[in-house]
Amino acid sequence: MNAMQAYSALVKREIWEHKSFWIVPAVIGCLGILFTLYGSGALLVAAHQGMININSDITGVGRVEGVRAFIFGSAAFFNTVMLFMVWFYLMDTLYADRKDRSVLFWKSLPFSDTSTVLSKLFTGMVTAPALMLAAVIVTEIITGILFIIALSLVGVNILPLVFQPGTIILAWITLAFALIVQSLWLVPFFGWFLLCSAWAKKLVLAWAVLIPLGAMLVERLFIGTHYLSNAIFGHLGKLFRMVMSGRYSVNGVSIGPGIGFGEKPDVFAGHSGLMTLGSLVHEFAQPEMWIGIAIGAIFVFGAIWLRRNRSEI
Amino acid sequence: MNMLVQARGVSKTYGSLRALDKVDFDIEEGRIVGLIGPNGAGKTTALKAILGLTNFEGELDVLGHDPRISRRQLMQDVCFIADVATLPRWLKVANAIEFVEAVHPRFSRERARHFLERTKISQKSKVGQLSKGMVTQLHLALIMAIDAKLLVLDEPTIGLDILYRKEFYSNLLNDYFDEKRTILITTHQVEEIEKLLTHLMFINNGRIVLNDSMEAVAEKYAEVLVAPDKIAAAQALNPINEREIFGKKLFLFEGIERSKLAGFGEIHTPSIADLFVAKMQGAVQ
Repeated sequence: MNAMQAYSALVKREIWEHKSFWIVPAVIGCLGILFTLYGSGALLVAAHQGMININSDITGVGRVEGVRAFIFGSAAFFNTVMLFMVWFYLMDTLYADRKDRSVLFWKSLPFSDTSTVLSKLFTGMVTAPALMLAAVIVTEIITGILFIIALSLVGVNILPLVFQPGTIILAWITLAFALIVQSLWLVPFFGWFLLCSAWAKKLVLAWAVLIPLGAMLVERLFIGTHYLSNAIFGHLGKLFRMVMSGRYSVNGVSIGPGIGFGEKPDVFAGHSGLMTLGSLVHEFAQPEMWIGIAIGAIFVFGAIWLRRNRSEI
Repeated sequence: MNMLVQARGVSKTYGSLRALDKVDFDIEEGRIVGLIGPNGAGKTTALKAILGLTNFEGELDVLGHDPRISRRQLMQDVCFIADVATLPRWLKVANAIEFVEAVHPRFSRERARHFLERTKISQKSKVGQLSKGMVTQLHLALIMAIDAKLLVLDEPTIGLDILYRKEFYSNLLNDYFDEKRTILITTHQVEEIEKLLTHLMFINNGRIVLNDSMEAVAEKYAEVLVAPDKIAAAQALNPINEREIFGKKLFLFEGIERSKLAGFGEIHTPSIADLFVAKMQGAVQ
């Protein structure tokens, strides 16, 4: 019997309860594979009918960036869905067991309220992204193979171009690191949701959203400043620039074009602005991240305190 | 004797309501204590205070811990079933066992399996698929597989049918209780635990109004069915309660020697339910 064993049981418990953390990414992966099958079929039909002419003239650094763009780009949808799941999970998790009174069962066992709250934060910050990453990797391997087969059937052999195990594995490691950085950026939001979840007697979503909105409005109307909204949206903005588009920013200035943010990605030019391990390290140099983590820690402490002192609705 | 719970001046207020009003009591090892009181009397608050589920004023020592600050350590030696159906519906039976085993150093998987084998509960079932009675069986199996010093039961059988209720208490007595264990129990179904208890505590309006061993209760309280001609004489001894039955009067006396009552009629030890009614009505007057 040791603390790690108890803690890992707490983390496992969250997956038992919230199977969607692996089912939903698995379903998205299956859909991605189906679309790839459909796309490959369409490609074969079109090529057979002579409707398209495939030019495989992809050279130089662009090859590497193309592979990386595929790996980061296909993760973006998984990530968006995962973030929504984590959002709803964190708002619900300290509320639902008070509502169905199962909190009384959990509290009859010898683990602290601190471990409970931290295990839930861990689920949002680490477990959910890790399960998502596993689904992303499996999906990318399968869709990549399908793609290669489909193109080879129309006479284009891209295998030597895209088969760069070093690049692919490094891209997955970069993605894993990006997810950690993303979680760290999100700590203040995660902490806030846990606090609301531990506090609200009902309508957690309304409190979680309306309190910050109300505070922004009050600040704007009565004080005339926008510090809070700038802080919140600035924080979210940095996050989206980095992860949603697979891009990064240095000192708040974003480098390179992004997917879905107006400009077209120029992934074959060699300077795509796709994130790298090095660019991600720069995120830690931003004071906003650390301020956010500090504020998030206060929220988490608040959630722990409430969990200890308010066990029933 | 080993003192498990010592409460001194424990108070808890919700707004203007005094749920516990400077309560003192002790619970010794090896006892089965029934904590009985009307709704809103402070029973659940008292249990919550012992279990570290609520804040309070005053001093409360449970197995050497202050439950307000060390619930985690306390729960290694204390188990509780708070109400039926607090097991989460999504939990699988096998996972429940796995989880408790991982977090509780005194849990025995073999014991839990042994208790569950006597039921129809499948390890693959989810709690949500079980009947209310089976959920209670599962909870009791998990709790009895923990080698705890103090077991706290708050209305453990409410809403169960008579078969499950009987089985619950017989399991508890035959497979769990021994001189090293202590049980604190609250219930409205006092008749069911009457034979079980070694000690009795009544609580009303946040105060302990009775706290005795069952032997002391049997000595102290007597119920006599008095014929009409002796009613006045009986009333002179200040009974704490009187009821009319078939033209006769049933008096409940406190602290009157049985020899003095022998002349009035047949003497019985009152049931907990009757004693409870008498005590609560007395408190109202």
